[in-house]
Amino acid sequence: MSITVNLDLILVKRRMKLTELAERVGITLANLSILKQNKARAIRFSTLESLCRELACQPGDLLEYIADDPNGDTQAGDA
Amino acid sequence: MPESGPLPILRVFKAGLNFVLIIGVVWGVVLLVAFFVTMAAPGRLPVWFSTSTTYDLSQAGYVGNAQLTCADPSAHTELRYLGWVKLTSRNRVYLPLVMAGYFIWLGLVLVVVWQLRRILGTLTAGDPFVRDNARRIKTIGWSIIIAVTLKTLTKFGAVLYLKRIISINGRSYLPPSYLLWESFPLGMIFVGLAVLAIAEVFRIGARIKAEQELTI
Repeated sequence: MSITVNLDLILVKRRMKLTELAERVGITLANLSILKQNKARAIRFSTLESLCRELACQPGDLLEYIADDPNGDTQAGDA
Repeated sequence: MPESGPLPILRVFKAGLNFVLIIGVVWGVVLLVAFFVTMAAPGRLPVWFSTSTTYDLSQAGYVGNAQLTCADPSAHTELRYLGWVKLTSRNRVYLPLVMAGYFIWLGLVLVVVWQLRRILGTLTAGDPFVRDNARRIKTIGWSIIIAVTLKTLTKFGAVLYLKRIISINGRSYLPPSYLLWESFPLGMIFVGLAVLAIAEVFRIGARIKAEQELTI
């Protein structure tokens, strides 16, 4: 997956639990888990907006592009 | 997700499918047992052929006074009604073939009914756009195409059998030439192809739905 969601990282920084975020954002815990585990196929702007609002961050803090390595490995993009 | 429950008509349809399923299975089992019992026992298996002889015999002016003679020593034929020939035979080549074709046709009809029932189940559960339904609809499409083709071939097999063994008023039985192109179920083949196209629509729909479900 080229785009990863760094939700767990920000949650640790904000000292917030996933259940609390789920309540504040109004998304089910199951859906938030899908997002956290990088299993989501797409994210709505409205969801991104709610997450950024509650976590006081920018979309760039949540999402990261990792270039696909031709050998199959992935590495953090620095572009 | 549906806000209300399933439509009452769906319940009626499901009950109808259950009825057809039960009748079909019972009918198949009874016929199968009857077939093997009569083939094994010294008795003869009566088979009724319609074979479009209504047209054939009435054209030839045979109705009412046709004299049927039979070349097969194991068979006996009677012209029963207008265009209906009753054949009792122990022929071990043609009849099992015709019966096998019939049973496969019956089996495929039951497969269609069963798959429809399963699809209906997902519909009443409120989640019809699943990959399994695409597969089921595809099965239905192929079953329709194979079943109608097989039934037609079986019919021609029966006609060819009658042609070989039956003579009417001393002349050999000639199946009408229009039989092949007119009775070949092109309409049903098109229905089968349309169902296959719908299966493809469902496959794509199921993929889009799965994607939509993973959109947070």
